[in-house]
Amino acid sequence: MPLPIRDLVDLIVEYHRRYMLPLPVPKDVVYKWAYKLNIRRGGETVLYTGALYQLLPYIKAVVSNLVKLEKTPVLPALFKMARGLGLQEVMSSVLLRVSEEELRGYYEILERIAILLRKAGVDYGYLYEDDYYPGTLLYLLGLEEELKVYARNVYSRLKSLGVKVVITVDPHTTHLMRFVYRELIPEYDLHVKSYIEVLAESNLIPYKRVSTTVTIHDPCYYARYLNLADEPRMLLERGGIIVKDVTRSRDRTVCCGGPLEFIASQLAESITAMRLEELRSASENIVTLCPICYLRFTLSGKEPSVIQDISYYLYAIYGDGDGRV
Amino acid sequence: MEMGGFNESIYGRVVEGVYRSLENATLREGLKRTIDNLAPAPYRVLGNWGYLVKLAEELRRVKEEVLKNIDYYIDLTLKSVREYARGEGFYAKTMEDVYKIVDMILEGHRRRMVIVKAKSMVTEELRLREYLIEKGHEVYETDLGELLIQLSQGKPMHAIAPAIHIPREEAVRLINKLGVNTPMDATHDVIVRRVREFLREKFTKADVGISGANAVAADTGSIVLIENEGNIRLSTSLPPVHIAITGIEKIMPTLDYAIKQALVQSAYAGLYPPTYLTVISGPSSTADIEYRRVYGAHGPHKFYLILYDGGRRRALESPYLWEQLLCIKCGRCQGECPVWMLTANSWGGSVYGGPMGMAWVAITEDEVRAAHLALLCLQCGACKDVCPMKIDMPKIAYMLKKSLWHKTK
Repeated sequence: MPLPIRDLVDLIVEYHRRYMLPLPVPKDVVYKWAYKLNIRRGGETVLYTGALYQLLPYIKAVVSNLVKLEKTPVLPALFKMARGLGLQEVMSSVLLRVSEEELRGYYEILERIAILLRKAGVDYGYLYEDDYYPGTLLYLLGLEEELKVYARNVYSRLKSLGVKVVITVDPHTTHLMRFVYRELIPEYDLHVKSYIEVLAESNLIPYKRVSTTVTIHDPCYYARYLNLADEPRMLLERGGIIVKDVTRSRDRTVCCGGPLEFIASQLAESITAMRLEELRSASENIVTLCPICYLRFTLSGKEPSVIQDISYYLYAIYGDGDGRV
Repeated sequence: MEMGGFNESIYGRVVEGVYRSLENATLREGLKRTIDNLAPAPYRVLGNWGYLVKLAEELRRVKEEVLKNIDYYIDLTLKSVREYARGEGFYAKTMEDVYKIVDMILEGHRRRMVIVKAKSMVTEELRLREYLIEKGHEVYETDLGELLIQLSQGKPMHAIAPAIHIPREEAVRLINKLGVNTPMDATHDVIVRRVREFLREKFTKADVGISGANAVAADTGSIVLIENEGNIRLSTSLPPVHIAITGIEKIMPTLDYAIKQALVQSAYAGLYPPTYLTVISGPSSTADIEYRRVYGAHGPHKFYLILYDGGRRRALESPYLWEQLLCIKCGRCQGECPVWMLTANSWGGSVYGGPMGMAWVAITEDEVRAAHLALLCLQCGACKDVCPMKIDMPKIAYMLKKSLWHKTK
C-alpha cells in the first residue's frame, strides 16, 4: 500500500525547519567525527560534509521501516488516520536503534577524506555545528519554496562565518550548492568544489600500489550534472587499480534508485537490484562516490560483492596504506 | 504548508499501477529483452552517421521558431495543403472536432467501411480506432505491434515499439483472435507471415487509410512518414481515401526540415536508415494523357490532413510544458530511464509514459495526474542527456512536483 506521502512530506519539511536536517537526529551526530582529527574551526576554505554520510545509518533504519510499512496492507491507513502522528513515531523511534559502532563506519569515510585533503596540501577548516544538510530531499521532492528559505538560511550562516570556498564530499551537496543555490539566491557567491576534484588537481603521490580490479558506479549528479567522471578513474588508476567500466557508466550511468527510497521504497529496491546486477557483470568490487548510492548497494548487495566508498581505495593508495584510519 | 494539488488517492493509484508492473514477470522479461536491444541501437547509429547529431541540434532551433509562431505555421500549412497538395486541411482543437471532421469525410462514402490504420500516437490520444469501431466501421491496425495492442485492448508501452511487453506466446494467442489459426509454437517468422496474409486482403479491400505523420511541411503541405514494415505505404497508397492526423507540433517550416525531422526520429529510435521514407503531397494523380491532370491514379484520390491541437497550444503558454512540444517521439528517453526500464508505460497515462510521458500526460490528459507521476522521477538526468532535442525532462518533472505542494501563483 502506498505510503502516506503528504504526512511524510510535512514531517520532512518540519525537520528541516526545526533541526536543519531531514530527520530528527541529535546535532552532534553530524560533526563529532571531526574531533578526533582536531580540524581547525572555520576559515575561508572549509570541508563541508552536508551531513549525508553521517545520516546514512538513520536513513537506513527509516527506509527499512518504510519498506515494511509499504508492504503491510493496514498500517499506512492507520497512520493516515493518526494524521502523521504514527509516522512521526516511526521516524524518531528508529533513531534510537543506531549504534555508535554503526555510525563509526560512516565516520571513517569522512576521516579518510579529511586526511587525504591534508595530504594533498589543502589548507581547510571545518564548521562543526555549522555543517548543515543542504536540503537535497527538499529539492528532489520539488519543495522549492521551502528550499529557497532553507538555502538562504544556510548561505547566510556560512557567509557570516566568512566562508568563501566549500569543499564538498558528495555529489548532491556539490550540485545543490554549486548550481541550485545560485538559481535561488541572486547574490550567491560561494565557490564549491568536490573533494574528488580537489584531489585530482593536487600533486598527491601514491603511497602504495593496490592491485585489484573494480568497477565504478558513477553517481548521476557527478557524471551528468557536474561532468565529473575522469577524475575518480584517474585517481584510482594512478594507484594501480584497474577500473573496468560497464557499458552504462560515466554520463550513461544508471541511477541507484536512492531518490525514491522515501516515497516508493519497493520501486527504489528494484532499481537498486537492477543496477547492482549490471555492475557485478564487470566486477564484484563496486566503487561508489555518493553516500546514497553506497547505502542503496550495501542494503541490496550480498557476498561476494564488495561495495566500498571511493575514499577507501583512495586512502589505501594515497593515505597510510592499509585502508583504515 | 499551503495546500497544493497533492492527492493521496491519485498517488496511490500511480504507485499501485507501477508496483503491479514490478510483479508482472512477463512484462519484466519482455522489457529486459527489449531494452538490451533497444538502448544500444541509437549509440551505434549516431556513431556511424555522426551528422545526425548536428542535424538534431539544428532541428531544435528550427522547432523553437515554429512553436513561437505556431498560429502562423498552422495557417500556412493548411493553405499549402489546399494550394500545393490538392488536399483538404483542417485544424481541430478538440477530440470532438476531430470526430466531426472524420465523420464529415466518411459521410459521402458507403456506411460500413473497412479502414486500415498506420500506428499513430495521436490517434491513440484521440481513441480514434475505438470511435470508428463504435460507429460500425471495420478498423485494423496494420503495424504489427499496434495490432497486438488492438487485439489485447491494452495501451502502447513504448512510443516506437508499442507491444514490447507482449512475448511471442501471447502474440500467437492474440493473432489467433483474427482466425488465422497459428500453432502455439509458431516462430516469429510464422507470426509475421500469418499477419501479412491476413492484412493483405484488408489493405486491398480498404475504403480509407488513416495515418499519422512524423513531420508536416508548412511550405508544401506535405507529410513525411518513416517506417520499416511497409504497412504505412500500403495504408496510405491502396485505399482511395487517405486521412493523415497529427499534432500541430509536427509542423516544420519547409519540406527539407520535415524530412530531416523524420530522419532524426528514426536515428534516435535506433532504426536508421529507415527502410521506407515516404513524402505524401496530396492525392495520387497522372497527366500522362494530353498533360491533363487526373486525380486518383493508383493511390488515393482524396487526401485530408487534420492538425490536432488537443491541449498543445495551451501548453505553449506554460513556462515549462512548452518544451515537451519539441519532442519528436523517438522514445529514446524511455529506454534510458531506470523507472521505465522496470515498468514501461505502466508509469504513465493512457497513451504516453516514461520521462516524455510526464509532460505529454500533462498536455493531453491531466496536469494533476502528471504531477503525481512526476513524483516517481529520480531526477537522474539520463532522459535529457539522450534526448535529440535536449528537452529538460528532469526540470519539467521538478516543476510538476512543485505544483503538488503549492498553489500555482
